[in-house]
Formats: sequence, C-alpha cells, structure tokens
Amino acid sequence: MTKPTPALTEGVYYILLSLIQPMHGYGIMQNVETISKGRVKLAAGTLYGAINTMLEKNWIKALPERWDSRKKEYQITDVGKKALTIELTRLKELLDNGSSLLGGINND
Amino acid sequence: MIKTVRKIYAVWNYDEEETWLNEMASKGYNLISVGFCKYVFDECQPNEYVIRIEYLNKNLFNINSDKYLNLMEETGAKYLGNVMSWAYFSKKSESTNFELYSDNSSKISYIEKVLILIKTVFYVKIFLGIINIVFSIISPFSINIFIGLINLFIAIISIKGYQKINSKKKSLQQINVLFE
Repeated sequence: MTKPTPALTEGVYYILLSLIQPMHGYGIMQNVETISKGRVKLAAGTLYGAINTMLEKNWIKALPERWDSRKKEYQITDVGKKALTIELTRLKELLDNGSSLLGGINND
Repeated sequence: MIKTVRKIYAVWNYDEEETWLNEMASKGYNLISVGFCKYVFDECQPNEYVIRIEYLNKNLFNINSDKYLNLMEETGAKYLGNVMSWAYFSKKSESTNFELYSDNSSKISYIEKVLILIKTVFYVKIFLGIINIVFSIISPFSINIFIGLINLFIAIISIKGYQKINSKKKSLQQINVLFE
C-alpha cells in the first residue's frame, strides 16, 4: 500500500514533463508556455525554487556543464518519472470522475 | 539626467519600497543602481520600466555568479545590483508582465524565507540590546545604554513587521484552501 502523495503544483507538473528532454531554465519557461498554449507562464523565482527543491528530492538532475555553455541543463530522473506517473494516475481519476458525473448532469 | 535619492526602508517594508520605485518609474525615473539607503535613477519614458525587489537567500559574495541572475537576464530583466541579500531588477514594461513568483505556493515559501530573516533581526537585536544594557550597568557614563535602547526598539518594531508579513502569508494560505 503506497501512502497518498499530495498533488503536484501545475508548475512542477509542467516542469517535470518538460524535463523528459534535457533543458535549461529559460528553455523550460518557454516550453511550459508553449505546451499550455500560453496559459501557464512560470516566473523566474517560481521556476528556480521548484528546480532547487526537485534537485534536493532527486526528481531531476543537473547535467554536466559543457565547456561552451554557461547555462545548466536539467533532466528528469527515475524518481521524478515515478512522481509524474503517480500524478498522472491522480489526474486521470479526477478527470474520469469529473466527466462521468458532470457529463451525467449535462445530459439531463 | 542622473538623480540620487537617499531613503531608508525597513526589511518588512519591501512592498512599499517596490511600490515607491515603480511610482518613480511611472514618473519617468528609472532605477539604474542601488546602494545602502541610496537609489540612483536615470530619466526614462514614464512607465517604461517595471522594478522588482527580491530577497535572495544567498551569500553576498557569490550573488553575481548566480545562475538565477542569468535566468533573469534571459527573461529580459536587468539585474541592477544588490544591497546585502536584496536584489533589484528592472524590465521593460512593453513585454509580458514582470512577476517573480507565478503561483500561490511559491509566493508563500518566498514569504516564509523573509519571515525567517525578520525573526533573525529580532533575536540579534534583542541579544545585542541586552548585552549593551548589561555593559552600561557595569560601566556607567557610556553610550552603551543608548545603543542598547535603540537595539531593543528595533527588536520591538520588528515584531510589528513580522506580524504584517505574516498576515500576507495567511491571506495567501486562505486562497490556497480553494485554489493552488
């Protein structure tokens, strides 16, 4: 029996999704804005705080820096993928319950 | 034309400080550099820039090499300098709105960082105040008693400051009950 984990914030969820591919900070901001069709705009402080917390929790890792780059790239780890999978299951439950119950109301 | 203004803000009045800097920007004075209780402005178009202040929980001496500042500059913000751990940024207001924190939970954890700072100010000032007053009892006719009282006074007003910032945190937490 796994203990229930709290919901991820929207920002953390989208950052983790972005980091399936290696990306640097500003790249994450742009990617999140693109995939959410401009709805989620991460501010620098929020992104930076989330990156630091996720590094501590080992959900993401910093890739070794290339000599020609002053930007750090990050990528999701297996622990991070696990957190993302748990969140996806939770979201699916919300979505399924929502559409079956609300769908029922709408059909009336 | 360069304009220098000397002004002092308590740690817990960082919102008022930011509001004042943005009022200056709306009047056509853009902040270009900062020093201890010192603000240097240059003329700009009214409302051309937005100013943000952020408490960075970082070592004073490596603040310049910080990855965070690189990230800020990539977003189009300019790092103007820092006074102790408080960093000052400006950004052209034509681009998207300039915020440092975009969701409730990160706003709360930022406020928590500032609350720890105010708590530290309180304990340090209480400690110094008591030391000063003890010394003034041992050797009368010294200025220790005045310094001690000033320290205790700052400690007392820092409690007010703490309560003020803490109530901001509470109202954000209330929103958090319904929304992320």
